[in-house]
Amino acid sequence: MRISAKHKLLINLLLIGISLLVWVILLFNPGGIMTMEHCHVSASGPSAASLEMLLEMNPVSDQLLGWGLMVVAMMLPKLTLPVQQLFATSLKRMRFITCMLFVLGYLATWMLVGLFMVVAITLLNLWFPMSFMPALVVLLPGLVWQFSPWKQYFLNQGHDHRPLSAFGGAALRDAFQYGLVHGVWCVGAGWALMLFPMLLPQGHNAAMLIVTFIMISEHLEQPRLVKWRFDLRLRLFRYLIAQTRVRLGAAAV
Amino acid sequence: MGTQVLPLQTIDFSVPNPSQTANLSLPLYQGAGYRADYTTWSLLQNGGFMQFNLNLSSACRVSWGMNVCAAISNGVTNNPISIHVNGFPFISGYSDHNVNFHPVVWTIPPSLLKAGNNTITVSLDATASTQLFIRSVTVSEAVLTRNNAWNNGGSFDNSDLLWYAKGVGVMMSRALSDPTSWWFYAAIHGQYIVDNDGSGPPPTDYPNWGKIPPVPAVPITPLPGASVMAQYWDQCQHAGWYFPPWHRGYLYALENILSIIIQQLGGPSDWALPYWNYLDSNTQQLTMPPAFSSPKLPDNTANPLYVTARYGLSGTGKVVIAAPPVNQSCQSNTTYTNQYGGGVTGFEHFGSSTGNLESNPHNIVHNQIGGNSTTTPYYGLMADPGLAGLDPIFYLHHSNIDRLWAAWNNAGNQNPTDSNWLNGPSASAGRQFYMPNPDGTAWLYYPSMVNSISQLDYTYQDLTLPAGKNQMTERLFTLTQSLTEKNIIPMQNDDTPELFGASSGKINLGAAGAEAKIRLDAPVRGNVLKSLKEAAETSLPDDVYLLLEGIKGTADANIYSVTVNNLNAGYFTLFGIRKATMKDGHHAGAGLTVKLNISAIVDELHLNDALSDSLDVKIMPDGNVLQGAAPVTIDRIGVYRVSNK
Ligand SMILES: [Cu+2]
Repeated sequence: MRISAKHKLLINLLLIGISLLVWVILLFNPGGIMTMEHCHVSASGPSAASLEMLLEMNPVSDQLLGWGLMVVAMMLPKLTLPVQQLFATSLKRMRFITCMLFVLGYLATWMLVGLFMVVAITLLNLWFPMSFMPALVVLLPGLVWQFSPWKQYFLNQGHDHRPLSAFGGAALRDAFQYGLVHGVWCVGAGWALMLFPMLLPQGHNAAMLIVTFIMISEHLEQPRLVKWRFDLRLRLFRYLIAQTRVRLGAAAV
Repeated sequence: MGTQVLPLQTIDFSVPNPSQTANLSLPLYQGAGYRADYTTWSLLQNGGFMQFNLNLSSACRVSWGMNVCAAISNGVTNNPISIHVNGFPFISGYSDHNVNFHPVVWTIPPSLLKAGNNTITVSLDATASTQLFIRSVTVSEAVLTRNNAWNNGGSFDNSDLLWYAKGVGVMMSRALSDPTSWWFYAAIHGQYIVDNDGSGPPPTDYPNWGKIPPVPAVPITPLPGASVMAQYWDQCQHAGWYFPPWHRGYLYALENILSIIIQQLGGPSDWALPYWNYLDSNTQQLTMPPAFSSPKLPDNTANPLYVTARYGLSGTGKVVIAAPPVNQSCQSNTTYTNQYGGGVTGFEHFGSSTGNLESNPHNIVHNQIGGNSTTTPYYGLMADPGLAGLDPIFYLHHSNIDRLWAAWNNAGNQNPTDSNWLNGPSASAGRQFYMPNPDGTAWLYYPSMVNSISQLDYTYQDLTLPAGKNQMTERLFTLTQSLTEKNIIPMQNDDTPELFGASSGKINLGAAGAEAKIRLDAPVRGNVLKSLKEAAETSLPDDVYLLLEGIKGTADANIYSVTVNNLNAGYFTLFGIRKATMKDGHHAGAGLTVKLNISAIVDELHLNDALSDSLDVKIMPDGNVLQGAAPVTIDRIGVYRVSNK
């Protein structure tokens, strides 16, 4: 069933608002949670001692927190459509909780992936401290993935709707599962785009912003034929231009 | 385009130096000369032309008339002329044999004209051996009238149908890759030849266009270039709020192409696409006009309007619309968005928010014409949007749908004023609506350009709205047993509809149909019952809808009836299900969603004290159904409440 304009706006404001708030935190980087601290003394080579020092300066818990914030900032705007749909098809008194569980399920998938990513990032930092090498090494398969049919497959799956139970525990379970599964499709489509900025010793924030732009654009695009395709995916850009034009010219139509 | 841009005006050539009128001037007349003996101008037999400049404030449909007389030499008239409109060969080799002054008239579609100066060249062909005298040239804005196809018995005695057949024949003779061919045009609606980036992979067997049993013999080569296919093909807008305007532009562009072909063939200058009004249940018009079921034209050549894969409800090939279920109760709707014309969507080849005009009569008529064959595993062309544009009856069906929309507006109902609607999908940077012009160029249009038929210079023979009470008025009478004379029009409710109940688990729509128990939520039920008990003109009762969410499968032609607690809740079709189910298609395999208003049923249950904590929904096949390769499933059946307070 359709969702009202008011509720749609509310959901969009909430998700995009939280995302923007977290963006502000990330960009100001309090406590340095978003950057790898390096011990220049131990930068001579990887060793158990240097790993220990690295982990001491960048505890896994801190890194996961940073990862989580990054996921929230970059991904929440992509959830507006499924949350709207879930909202409209849930019992009124359960709308909030089902939408919450969906978002939690989705974040849970990304956090699980984050655990592996953080380990990989730590090790790469150990071997190549302050180097652009790891980022460049990921960039190549990342680009291949970006234009590959596999990526399109995951993007297409991300548009899938699932039958959801309406009542009681089943409704809660379905919403959470829907979030988990939606997260899997999203990870498949976006892992390379997420990993690349994390590996940059510099320009991390700028890269994250660009990547977010691309990911939201991809999300706005309708499912397409699964095949190799060179596409910069700038739909969001075109969308913003079109809306500005339409709004400015609305009186003239 | 617009009205009243071009008043009637004439240049008089019975004087040596004719004076120009406001929009019409004569900059060149090489090879044409003033004949003092006949006090007229003539095109000379040694090759010559007259070139007119037509100045328009905006492109509109122009009636081009000339008062002419054919010269006789050695007892014969041989004066073939050609007319070019902005370089396009609009009329080629027209030869006049009437040796007295008389008017000849052509209608130039707006697509060949533009705002500002237009060049119209009337030239004598090189083969001419006699002259053509032109006493005057007249232009005016023209309005075409689309007429009832059942005029003159719906046979080829109706010249609209005869010339439609001839025009379709010419389009069918053109190559698939030609944007003005019949096949290309059908592919604009939807096709099963190639995976046109998101239209989904074509099926290997029927309905792949290569596997369609003739007639017609459908070509699958030569394909146009990939960018042309991406621009035009698989465009039809269904299950969303662009359904009416997109189809209006689709018909209009086809009518322009056909109108030129028909005039080139020597047909009438005022030919317009007819409509089949299958809603007039008092007459024989429920039957398809006989011109479509005859394999031959009157001259005994093959009839291009005849199609083999058109099975009808019975599956035997006889096409008769069953009314009910087909009706025009959608015409009593008073709101476009989410009601009459569909829910808010972007470019949606198959969305999930079907308007009432689209679900009934549009969808049901599609499937009642197409139907399922009883002797082959095929369904009819009309029953699948990837095939429907191939069947010539399609355009007469949609002409009627367009007529209903025009009549609805005529009665004072408003189209959306939201800029996202007026600007079409370009407002969201989506694919835009393009149609081929007769000269092969692209026409880009927005709903704002097809908002009313007067913008497009055509009208319909009949634009009356059926009289009758709307559903809310009927309900109030049932609930309160007090007679309301006037129609009660509820305020548009903008709140999110509230889930009232739902089935649990997927439902299989097998050959015998399906039954499901829909559990109702107790607190919501309390609210609904309260609104029904308190129903009055000042306190309108809640509306209740049944939503079949995520119907998936490949059996497009199937029609089903729905009952709720054994009370008739209406009908739905699977028109478009194959395309809506394709995983890599535009709609990501979300399937179709069907919405039925069951308020009257809930009223009756309430009056009988029978609205319990569940509803029994029964879905039964109507007519001859195919199961298809994939079984038909429904993700969930939901019941929703909309408050009218
Ligand atoms: Cu259609």
